[in-house]
Amino acid sequence: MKISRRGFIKLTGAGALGLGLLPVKNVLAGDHSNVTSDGKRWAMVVDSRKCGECNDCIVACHKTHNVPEIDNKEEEIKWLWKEKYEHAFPSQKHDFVDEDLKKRPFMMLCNHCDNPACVRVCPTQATFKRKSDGIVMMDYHRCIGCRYCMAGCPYGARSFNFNDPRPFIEEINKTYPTRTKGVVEKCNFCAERLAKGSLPACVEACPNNALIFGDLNDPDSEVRKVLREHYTIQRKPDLGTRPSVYYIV
Amino acid sequence: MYDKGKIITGIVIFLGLMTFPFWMSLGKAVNPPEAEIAQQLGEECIEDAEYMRENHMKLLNDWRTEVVREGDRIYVASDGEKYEKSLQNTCLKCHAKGENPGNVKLSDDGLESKYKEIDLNSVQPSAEAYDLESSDCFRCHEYAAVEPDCWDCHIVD
Repeated sequence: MKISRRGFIKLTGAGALGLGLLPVKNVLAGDHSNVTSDGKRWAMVVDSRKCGECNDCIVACHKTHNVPEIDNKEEEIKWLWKEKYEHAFPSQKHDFVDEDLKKRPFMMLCNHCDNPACVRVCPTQATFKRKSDGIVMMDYHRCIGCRYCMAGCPYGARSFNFNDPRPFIEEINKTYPTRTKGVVEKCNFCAERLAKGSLPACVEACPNNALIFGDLNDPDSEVRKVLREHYTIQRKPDLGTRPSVYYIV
Repeated sequence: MYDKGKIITGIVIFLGLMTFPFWMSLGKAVNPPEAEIAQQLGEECIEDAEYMRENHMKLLNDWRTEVVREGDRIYVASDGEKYEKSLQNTCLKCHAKGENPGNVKLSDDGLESKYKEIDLNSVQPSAEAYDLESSDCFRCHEYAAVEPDCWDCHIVD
C-alpha cells in the first residue's frame, strides 16, 4: 500500500485524537465501580419508625471514638447526627409530606458507599475502601487535611478538625485514639469493635433496636432479612455511590 | 607580619571559643538511655534488642498499615510467639509505667480469647494511663532529639 506524507500525517492526527478522547469518555461515561468487597460487606438499616427522642446512639458513638463536642456550627465534628426528612432525602421531599415524617428524626452517618466519591478524590489514599469488609476507612496518619473528600462526599459525612480536638472531649476513652488538628474524620462503622466480634456502639446503645447491622453479602443476615421484608430507601441513590445505609420510612 | 601578637592571640581566642563545646564536655560522655522499665520487669521484647533498636520505627509503621488497611491485628514474632499489633496494648505495657505491666503474649487462639475478657459493652475508659515522661520511648527519643508525633493522637496521660 502506498501512502503519501500528507495521508500519513492525517491518519496519525486522527489516531492521536482518538487516544485523547478515551480518557474523556472514561470520565463521562465509564463505570467507576470498584465492586465490591471480597468477603463481607457491612451495612446498616435505620428503622426511622422506631427512632425516638433520645440521643443514646450519638452519645455512645461520640464517647467511644473521642469525638469532640464543639458548639460552633462551622467547626463541629460529627460521626452520627440527626437530620430532618427533607434534608436527608432532598429529592424525595414535596409540599405535602405527611406530618409524622416531617417531625421524625433520621440518623445520618457515613454511608460506607460501594462506590465512594471520597476514596476517588483522596490524593494520599488516606481514605480507602477495605476489600475485606467494604468499610470506607481512614488512615489518619496519612491525611494531609486537603478536604477534597469533604467536597466529594455528597452526604456531608465528614468533618474537619480546625483545632486540636482534645480540649473539647469531655471524657476521654483511653482505648481509642483522638485525632489531631488538621485531619478529616468520620464514622468508621466501629471497625475496631467489629474486629473483636461486637456490634457498632450505636447499634448496641439504641434502646428501640432501630439500628440493624449486618453483612449484605450473607443472604441469611439480619439486614438482608429486614431489607427483604420492608420497603427501604437510600440517600441520593441517583448519584451512583451505592450507599450501605438503608432507611425504613 | 604586622600586629603578629594581636593576630595570633585573636586566632587562639577564636579557636578556643569555636571548640568550646568539645572540650567542655570532655570526659562527660552521656550514655544512651536503656530501656529501664522493661529491663526491671524482666520481660523479653517481641524481637531481640538489636533488631528493635534498628527497626522499631519500621515495625510500628508496618503494624499501622496492616491493622488499619488489612485488618490484620496479630503479630507472629520470629520465635513463633503471637502478639497484638498495638502500641498501647503491647509496647507500652512494658515500656511505660502502667497498672498491669507485662504479659503481652497471646494464647494460640490469638486475639479472640483476649478480647473476650474485655467488657465491650462499656464505653467507659478502660485502658491504662501511662506516664509518658518516664516511658522508655520518651527518654530515648529525647536523648536522640527525635520528636515522633505519636502522642498527638494516641493517648498517654
